[in-house]
Amino acid sequence: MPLAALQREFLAAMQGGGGIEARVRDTGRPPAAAIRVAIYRNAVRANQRGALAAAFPVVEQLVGTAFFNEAADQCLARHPSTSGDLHDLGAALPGFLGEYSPAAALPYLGDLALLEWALDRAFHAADGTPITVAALADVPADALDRLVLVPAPGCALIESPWPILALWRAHQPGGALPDDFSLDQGGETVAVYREGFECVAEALDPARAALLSVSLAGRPLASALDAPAFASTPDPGGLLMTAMGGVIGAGMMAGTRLRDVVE
Amino acid sequence: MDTSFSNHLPDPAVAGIGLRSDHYRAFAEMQPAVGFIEVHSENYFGDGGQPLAWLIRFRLDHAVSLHGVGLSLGSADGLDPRHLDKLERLVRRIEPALVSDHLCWGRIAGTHLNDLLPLPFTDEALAVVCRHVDLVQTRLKRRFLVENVSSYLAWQESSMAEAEFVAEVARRTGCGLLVDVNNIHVNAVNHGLDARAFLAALPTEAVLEIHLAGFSEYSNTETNAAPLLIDTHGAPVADDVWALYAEALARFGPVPTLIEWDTDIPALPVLLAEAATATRHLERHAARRVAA
Repeated sequence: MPLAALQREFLAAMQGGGGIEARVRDTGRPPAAAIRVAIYRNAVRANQRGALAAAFPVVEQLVGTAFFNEAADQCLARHPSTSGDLHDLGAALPGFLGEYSPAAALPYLGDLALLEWALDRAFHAADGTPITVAALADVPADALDRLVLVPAPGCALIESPWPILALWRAHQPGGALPDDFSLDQGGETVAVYREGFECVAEALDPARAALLSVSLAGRPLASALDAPAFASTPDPGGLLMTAMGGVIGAGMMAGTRLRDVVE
Repeated sequence: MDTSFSNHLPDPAVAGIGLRSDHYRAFAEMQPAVGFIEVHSENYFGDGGQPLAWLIRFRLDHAVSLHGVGLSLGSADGLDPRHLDKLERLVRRIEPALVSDHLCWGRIAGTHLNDLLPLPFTDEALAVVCRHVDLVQTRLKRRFLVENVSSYLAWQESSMAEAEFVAEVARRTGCGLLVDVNNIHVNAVNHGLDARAFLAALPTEAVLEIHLAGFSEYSNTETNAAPLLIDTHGAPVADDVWALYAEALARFGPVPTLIEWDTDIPALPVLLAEAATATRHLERHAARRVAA
């Protein structure tokens, strides 16, 4: 059998198909071929489940290991690993969990997984020195409407109708849910970014969330003024300045650029 | 990256350890005298972050071996160019003393199984592996090392012995061999092979590193028969493997030797004690050579 055919058949066997046992040499020694193949099936599964559990520790805590493993297996069946680097495995899990019917009683699970995945990405993101507000001093006044803030590598924004940050914090070492916690207390918009090598998750007010959102989309910071957060204030410009000081001061921004007029 | 490293080489007289994230802090505090450290390449494939910063810090004082698990040298449909790109970037960043991966496959039809899967020992598989090793060595502009793996099944397709396959990869590509003595023992038990004949089949000049690790037994409750050995890297090195290691040293000379421990990882001193045992073997070997 050609190598490619053997490897495809083995892949099918790892995904639950049969038949590969016939290609296994009988050495006259136990165990049987089916057990030898099963050892690989278990190892493949354990490696991939382990990688997902490492990237989504809070999701695993919330649902328990058995539930997590079953969900991981089903997610992997639909979105197989494509990389020899197990750190790449996990991008599909948040979306999968969001639609996974056995998890319907935990409607926040997909968003919580998004938060964990963003933290995982930030952990491996490029290093850099964030800008300070002083970086804005050289921007000509007539160019302010074209000014784009460039988020630092690993910076992300997760908007959820659920209090995902409170849930996430409760599952950190020594963490607990606040006494007045309620799942229905309202959603949270969470920024993820790096402070040195530490990954930070922080809830943002609507103005800063709008500013980070347009910045992540590569749009000028002035376009944040279209967001609802700025419609209800008598001083949108002042609020935008405050929001800008907030996201830059936190270290979420790596640079600035001027967007071309023709863009 | 503008980090400038001195040209550390592994000290072949002192065993090294596989360094995992559990031990970063303890290793930095103890600063143990190890011959070299080895890490899994893929754990540092990120653009930046803390793992890479630790590795750069350790690289300042130690020879580093980058040991990959995901290149899939035996894939019939080629190497993953993204993986090779990241490995090349890491090699440029770290300037390692040794770079290696396994003689196995893991990826087919765009899907990666993320395990060290057994190849059939055929002329076709040999040609595939050699083509890929050539590609890697050309890309990295250095001698690459390939490691023999543990396996739990053998393919009917195989037309040569594993040792012959391993030796032929080294002969055809000029690559180095990372001889995993534990894997030879595991395969000897699992497939009824002669471990000493395996060592004897390898080209001495190509053997540039040795791995030692512990295995566990797959209990076969149905038959009560001889167990299958599983290469877990989760236990001390077995007596049989130490004995085989002594024979490997007699055959290959003092080769940089590494203790691997990846599951049920013990405290760093336990790992260092295993490395010290390997170092004593290296010392005994050196003494015998002087006496002879």
